[in-house]
Amino acid sequence: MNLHQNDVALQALDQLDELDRREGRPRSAERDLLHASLLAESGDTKRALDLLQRWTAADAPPQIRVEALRRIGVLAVEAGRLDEARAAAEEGARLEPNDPGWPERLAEIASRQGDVKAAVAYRRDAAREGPSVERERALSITEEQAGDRSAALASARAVVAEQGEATAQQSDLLRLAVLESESGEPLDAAALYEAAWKMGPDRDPALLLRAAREYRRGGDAEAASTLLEQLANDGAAPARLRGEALAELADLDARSGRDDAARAALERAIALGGGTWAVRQTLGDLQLRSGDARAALATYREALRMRDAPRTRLGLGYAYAKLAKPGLAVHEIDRALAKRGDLPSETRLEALRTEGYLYAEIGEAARAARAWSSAQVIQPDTEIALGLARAERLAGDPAAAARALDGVAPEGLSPAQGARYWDERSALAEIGNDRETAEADLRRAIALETTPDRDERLGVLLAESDRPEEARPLLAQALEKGGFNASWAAALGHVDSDLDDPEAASALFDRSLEADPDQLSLYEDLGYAHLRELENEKAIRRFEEAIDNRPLYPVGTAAERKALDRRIERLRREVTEVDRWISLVAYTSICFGDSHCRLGDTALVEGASESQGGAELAIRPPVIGFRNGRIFEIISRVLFQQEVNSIEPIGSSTVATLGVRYKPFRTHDFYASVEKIFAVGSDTTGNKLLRGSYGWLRGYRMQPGVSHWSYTNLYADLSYTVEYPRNWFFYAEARQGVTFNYADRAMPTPLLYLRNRNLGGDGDDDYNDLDLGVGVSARWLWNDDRYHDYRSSFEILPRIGYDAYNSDGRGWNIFLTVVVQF
Amino acid sequence: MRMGRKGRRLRRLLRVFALLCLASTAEGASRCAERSAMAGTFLQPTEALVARDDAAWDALFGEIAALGMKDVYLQWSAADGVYEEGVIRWPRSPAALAKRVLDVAAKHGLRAWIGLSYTDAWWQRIERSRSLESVTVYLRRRLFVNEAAARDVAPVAVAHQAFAGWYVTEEIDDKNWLEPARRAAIAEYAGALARSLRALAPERPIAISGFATGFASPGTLASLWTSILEKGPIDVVLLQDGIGAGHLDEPELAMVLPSLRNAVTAAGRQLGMVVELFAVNEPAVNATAVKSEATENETAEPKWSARPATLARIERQIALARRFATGPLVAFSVPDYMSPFAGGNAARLYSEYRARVLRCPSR
Repeated sequence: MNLHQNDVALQALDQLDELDRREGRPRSAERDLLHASLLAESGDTKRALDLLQRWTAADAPPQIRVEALRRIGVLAVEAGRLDEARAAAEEGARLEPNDPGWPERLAEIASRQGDVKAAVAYRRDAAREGPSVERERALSITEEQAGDRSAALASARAVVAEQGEATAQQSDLLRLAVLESESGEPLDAAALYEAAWKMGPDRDPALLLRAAREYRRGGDAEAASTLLEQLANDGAAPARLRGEALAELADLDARSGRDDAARAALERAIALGGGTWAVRQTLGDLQLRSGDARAALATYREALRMRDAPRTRLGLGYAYAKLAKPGLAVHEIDRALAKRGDLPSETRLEALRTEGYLYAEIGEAARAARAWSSAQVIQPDTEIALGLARAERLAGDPAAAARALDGVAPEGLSPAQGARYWDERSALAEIGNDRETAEADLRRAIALETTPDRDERLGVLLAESDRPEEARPLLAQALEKGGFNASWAAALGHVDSDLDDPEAASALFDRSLEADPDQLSLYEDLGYAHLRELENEKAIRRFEEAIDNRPLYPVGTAAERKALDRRIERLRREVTEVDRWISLVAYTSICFGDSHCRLGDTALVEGASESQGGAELAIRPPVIGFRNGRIFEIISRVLFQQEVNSIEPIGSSTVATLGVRYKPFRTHDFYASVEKIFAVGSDTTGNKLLRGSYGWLRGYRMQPGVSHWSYTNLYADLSYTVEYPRNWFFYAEARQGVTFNYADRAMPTPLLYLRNRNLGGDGDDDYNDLDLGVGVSARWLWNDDRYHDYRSSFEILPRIGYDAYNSDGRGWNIFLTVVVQF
Repeated sequence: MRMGRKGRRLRRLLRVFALLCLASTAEGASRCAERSAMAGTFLQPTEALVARDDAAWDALFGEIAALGMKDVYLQWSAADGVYEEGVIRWPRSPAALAKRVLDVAAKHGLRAWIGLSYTDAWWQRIERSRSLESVTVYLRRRLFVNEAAARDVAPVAVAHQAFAGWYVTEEIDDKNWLEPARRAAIAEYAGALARSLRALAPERPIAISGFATGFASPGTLASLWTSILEKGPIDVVLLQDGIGAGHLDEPELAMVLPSLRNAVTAAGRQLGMVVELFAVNEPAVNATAVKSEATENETAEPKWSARPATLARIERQIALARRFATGPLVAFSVPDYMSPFAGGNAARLYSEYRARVLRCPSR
């Protein structure tokens, strides 16, 4: 009926009602029901309900009453008058208690009212009064809505059982699967999904994926794998789903240790377009785990393009670490760690620990310490504490290193860890100059774990404590077991040197220098070792190399430059001394005046007379001439007296000698000599001379670059002629002055002197004097080169003296001494 | 009348269009050249190269100039010096080699950066396993030797019209100088050498090269270079891109470069890039080659070998270098890997690259 017809019908019914009312006829139930329907259709629900209410009274015919109530129920719900609708339906249910339709209607109204509990009760009533699959399904849904999952599950099971699983509706199976899954029955859920997937011609592959996931949840990995494989190989399935299946499959494989299969699955997933961030991240993790860091790196980079996730940054960091790129590794790990909240604590801990190791490898001890400190805050670990202590020490914070060690109980450590613990304790004690503790701790470390490195450290510690006997075996063992190490060899060489084994020392120094020619001090040490083993030529070569190394020494300050100059000069003197095989000295001493210018007829030693001259030739024979500072020389001298006030020799006083001279001490200038004296002049006689002299000099040699310095010379000489006339002569002199440096070439030295000459014996010339005075020694030096100090000199020494004591009488004297040395 | 107005409008439009075309072509040419061109190349004066006659050298420098390059970096001028009695004696005169390079460079309108002293002991003697004292002494040794080489070369180089500047032959890596004391040592060395070179030729810039392997973090590498640049008047830092040597790949290089550029720029210097034109041969290939050689010479050891890279890869390297460089892009090296002089694939690469450069309209 269209709207127009409806209006006409309503007008007609209104007129009929009016007619009946006027004529007093009772109302027609059927007509009112029709009227109400038309009113409802025209939208006048209120009048329709009012009209129907008339027929709900107890006196209305039962059938009409029930029908009116049913229609009220429907119209009231449509009008949103739910209470009215529910009341009508309850009344209807009361009137027809066996009709399941009423509780069904009531359940719907109660659900709309939000009274799900009542709705469930009504559904149960309905299902009880008229059992059917539909009512059971509705009950299950309402129970689920009411939150009663177990009841909903039971009802859903009943629905499926009623239909039979093989023939049940797919939707019922899926609902039950969801409920089973949510109720902790994943295997049942999986079977239901699988059953649902098998239904119908258009099998939904998503159900297979769900089934697989449920099997996996239920612990049936095999069934899950089978289904996932099936889906992955289903060419008709959407690529995205196949990719997801492969990712699941990969996860399963990976958890079962089948990394290769997992990687293959993930690679297939990516090839199918399923390369999500998670898939790539997992693939990267697997590749990294399998050691294929380069592939992992590429995969992580792809993942990073999809999502800048801390986990991906970490993966990159770990991959770089494996690729021996620790700098790039820490760069990435730092970035991952910067996102504080985004990493689980365990992952963060691992990252910090790894970062610590990487920074330690790079040599950035302070950063390593920082990373490990942060790791220790999350979860303390002994291994990390030991690393932290070392890093803190290397970063220059021994107090922090000690604190890190304080947190470690050495008793519970493995031998290797314990050894590292005591290593660090020892190193800290060494920093604190507590050598005793350092040694004790290092011994503890070695007792737990012997390594060449520890042996070497202890050896050096002992050597530095002047205990070379104990140091030697340790250093030798370190070198033997640890492989050749230039600095270890040098350390052992020094110990050998201390133990007076220059051959062993020089062999080690040689090897050490060959391996590392940049150990400057070793050239010199090797030179001295060669000297000690009497290998003068080798020594000279090493000293010359040491001199050549001059540009390589650090000379940042004036003091350093000065120290280097002194060092080089010392080396040049060594070369000069060792290299010298012949020397010639000529001298003349002129006494001006006539009081005490002559001492005896012939002066057999220099200085014995104030007016004498002579020359000395000394030759050091090969091999025995110079033996590590001990000197043996063949000497020959010519000596003569001079006229007073003149350089003119007195020929009759001339003697010649031939003998040998020996310097037995390396560091003391003591000489002993024996000479045969040949009479040359008519006034002389042959004899044999025994002689001993000792000198102590300070500031005698040129000091290049130094303007002036103090000069001291102490000298004593005792000689004796063993044949008649048996005379002895003693000469002692002390000089003190200041030497000035002129162009590193000449050395004027104003000086004071004091000397004593004493002669006695068979002759009749006994004499004793003590004179003192002032003079100026002027020395000019030449004949030097790059490696040699001045080998020649010319000295002129004028002086004026007064005899403080003289057995022949006091007086003033002026002397001039000239010495030329080649 | 109406037609005449239309015509004028059309002409105006055509003029505007022509100007736009011209502008875009000029801009395009500029961009094209920037994308393609490298400013110079290294030149390794190996025995084989030095033995080639003047005509061969002339041809080689002509090829370099034909690529639009302006600079040749003579990697070293001195080698195998013997130190005796305080004097270094060179088996081959550094000055003579430098002069030969400068003369032939001048002939082709090129400039030459003169490298100093080469030694193959460098990497072994600066190793981290060696003590700091030992390495410091070695650096002083190198300073001494390099200063001697520079003093030898300076009389012929400084006044030469083709002399571009000095190139410090030692390369600064990212592994051996990371501890603070070692960093200070290399900075002191490079600074002292640069000061000496500046004293010899006050007007000429000084370039030094380095490379990264990922051992140092980008930040640490940058601060290493900051330390070096603080110590002496080094004008150009040439970072080897490491792509050819396999030290870094492109993403890794892109990680390293930003902070390094910032550091070099902050020091007021230029960051140039060395574009490696080679690809290292796989070990298996090497092994085969070595094996065949070993049959003739039983003492033969595996040798490093490389082949010319592809132009596509080189263009990617150039593009990446362009993003970060503030200084020149220098090839390593045209004579070895991109020249008819080297022949074979190198000649092919030369043709390809030259065609690429020539496609760019000249500016």
